Amino acid sequence: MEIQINGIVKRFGEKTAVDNVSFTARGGKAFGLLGRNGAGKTTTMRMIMDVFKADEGTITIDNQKIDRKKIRFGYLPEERGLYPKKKIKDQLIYLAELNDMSKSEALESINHWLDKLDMKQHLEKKLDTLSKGNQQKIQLASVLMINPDIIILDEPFSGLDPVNASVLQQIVFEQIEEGKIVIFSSHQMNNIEEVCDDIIILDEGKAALAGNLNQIKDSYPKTHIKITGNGTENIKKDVEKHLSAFVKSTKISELELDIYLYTEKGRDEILDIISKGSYDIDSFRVVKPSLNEIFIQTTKGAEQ
Amino acid sequence: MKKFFTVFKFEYSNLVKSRTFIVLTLLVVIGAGIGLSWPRISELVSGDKETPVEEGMTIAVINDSVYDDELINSTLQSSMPEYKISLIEGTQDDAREMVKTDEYGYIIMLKGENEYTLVTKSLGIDNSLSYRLDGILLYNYRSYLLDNAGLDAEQSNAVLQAQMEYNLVETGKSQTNSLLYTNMIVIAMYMIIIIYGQMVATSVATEKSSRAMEVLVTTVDPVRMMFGKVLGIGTAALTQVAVIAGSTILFYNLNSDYLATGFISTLFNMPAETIILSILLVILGFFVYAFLYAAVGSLVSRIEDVSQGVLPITFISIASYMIVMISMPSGNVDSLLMKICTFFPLTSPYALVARMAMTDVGLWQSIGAVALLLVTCIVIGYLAAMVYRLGVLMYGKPPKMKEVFKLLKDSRKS
Repeated sequence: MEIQINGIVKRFGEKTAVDNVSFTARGGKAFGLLGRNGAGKTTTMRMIMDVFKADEGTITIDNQKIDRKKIRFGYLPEERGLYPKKKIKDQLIYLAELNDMSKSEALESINHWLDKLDMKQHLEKKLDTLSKGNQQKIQLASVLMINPDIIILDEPFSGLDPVNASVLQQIVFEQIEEGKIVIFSSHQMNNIEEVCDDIIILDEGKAALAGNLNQIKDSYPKTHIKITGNGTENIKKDVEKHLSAFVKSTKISELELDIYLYTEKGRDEILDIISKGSYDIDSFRVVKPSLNEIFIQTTKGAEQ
Repeated sequence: MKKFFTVFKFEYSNLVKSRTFIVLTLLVVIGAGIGLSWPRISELVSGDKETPVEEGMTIAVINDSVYDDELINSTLQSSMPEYKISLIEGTQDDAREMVKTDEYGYIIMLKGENEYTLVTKSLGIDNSLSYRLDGILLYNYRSYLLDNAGLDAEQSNAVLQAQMEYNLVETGKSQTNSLLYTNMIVIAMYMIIIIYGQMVATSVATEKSSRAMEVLVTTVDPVRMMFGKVLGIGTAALTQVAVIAGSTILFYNLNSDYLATGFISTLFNMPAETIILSILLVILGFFVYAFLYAAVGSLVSRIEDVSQGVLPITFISIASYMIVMISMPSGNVDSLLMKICTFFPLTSPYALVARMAMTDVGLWQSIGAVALLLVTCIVIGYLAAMVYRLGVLMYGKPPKMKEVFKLLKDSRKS
């Protein structure tokens, strides 16, 4: 199963919130929808869930129009919140019923997920009597209890402590294993990097960058070289002396030397120096850019 | 449609199961029960129907009139058996002093043929004593005059006790009877609109401020959500009214022997058509307002902003309530103002109820008026739904009226 987003556009009055965005998210893989605040992530997600109609473009699943009677969306909004003054059981059943589940189905699923999240003892409590972290777990249960086909998580890791974050990550992996489409939205890149295969970076409503994360990283110039070992001090001196035309900057800390080049040129020359001299080194590698670096470059570059 | 019922059921059962709702309903039912059983209870407790002589309620009489003490004493005592009449001597200053020191509650100073002064601390608002005294002493004076004119006791009694035979044929509605129950209906309508209307606004704003809305809109169409909510809360209100009305009627029937003559009985002898029309109008009136409240609730982002946001609506509701309440006792419910109010959507629920109950609006006019209100209700419901759709995902400062209209126009274009 895959969901195809095809050239969607959404305007609010004069402002174009989402401008001709296309991507495909596949089942069994996590998709990262990235962008700064106000880049159009939430609007895109709302269009996928048919909260807003796209002014232009199409959204299809396996090239078919989305039939909301068959396709269930599990949505964890960035601004979390359910009914603070209502019993957890009552509101979860309500949300499940709104997703066309029967009451008994709902109860069974609710019990399953609360058990899994270690929250079963809170079933009869009011939501606002729980700690913030536990409220988040309840919200997560509300997403998963309906057994969604497509899971959309907006900033799922924000506000979670490390233990709960890893619980969430584990659950997300399980859902991906089951072949579900998982769409992540975040501006915290480290989590996305660990989970997502494909990404799109939105900037002011437009797709600034899209594709397979590894391919994107490969496509970036390999200008960052990391050398470790005892001889890094000497390598730094020699590289700066002989290769100043290629080297933009160097950084040394403990036994690690980072060399940043202007272009991809210079890597072989550095290797040359190392092989000719008798330095004591443990490793030499070309560092791929992190998603964080790519993100900053992409969104900043578009701004200028 | 299924989702509409899910929302409806959720809102309804949430409200009906809430402690406040149950306690409030019970309190009113108990209050009505005690109130309607009171004549029976008080009779059981006191054992007989006569009101006991109030202690300290001695009426002192200073007699400087042409009548002899014996006559005055026997006349007053026989006409006012619950008071003790006692003849004393003294001046007006003495009388003031005696009342001040609580020696007597009332002192009557009789002078000449037809003059008297009543000295008391405070007559109070509801005190009928002076009217009764007027009557008794005037009767006495007239019989004295007739006596002087040469009539014997029998003749003068015949003159004094002569009465007109009175028959009443009302072709329209009896306003004396309808005033009371119309009052009740208008008050009930006002309370339902204010209490439950605001509840609609608060409920919407709670979903928004708690961000539950973010999830809800992904599964339910906002318009269905709004109608489900308004109908759910409205039905809960209706349930409450039905429980209260039902138990009140039950209590009335249990105690009807003790209440049949009182003004309360007029309440329970409402014409069936008035009841049906009133229920219809109260329901329509509630929806007209509830839709507006829902729209306002969808536009504010925080609970704190609700009370300010609903102020214009509440104000209109209070104003129309006041206009109707002021017009009703005068009996002039067909005045120009009331007629205008009948056709203005927001005042019409109140004005229609009053006019239909108190005057003969006529069948076709009634149907026309209800139809007009129904159309109004649908139009306002439609507009509110459009605002709601826009409002539910809009956060930040509540927009001004002008901005809302602009947004509506923009959204229709796209």
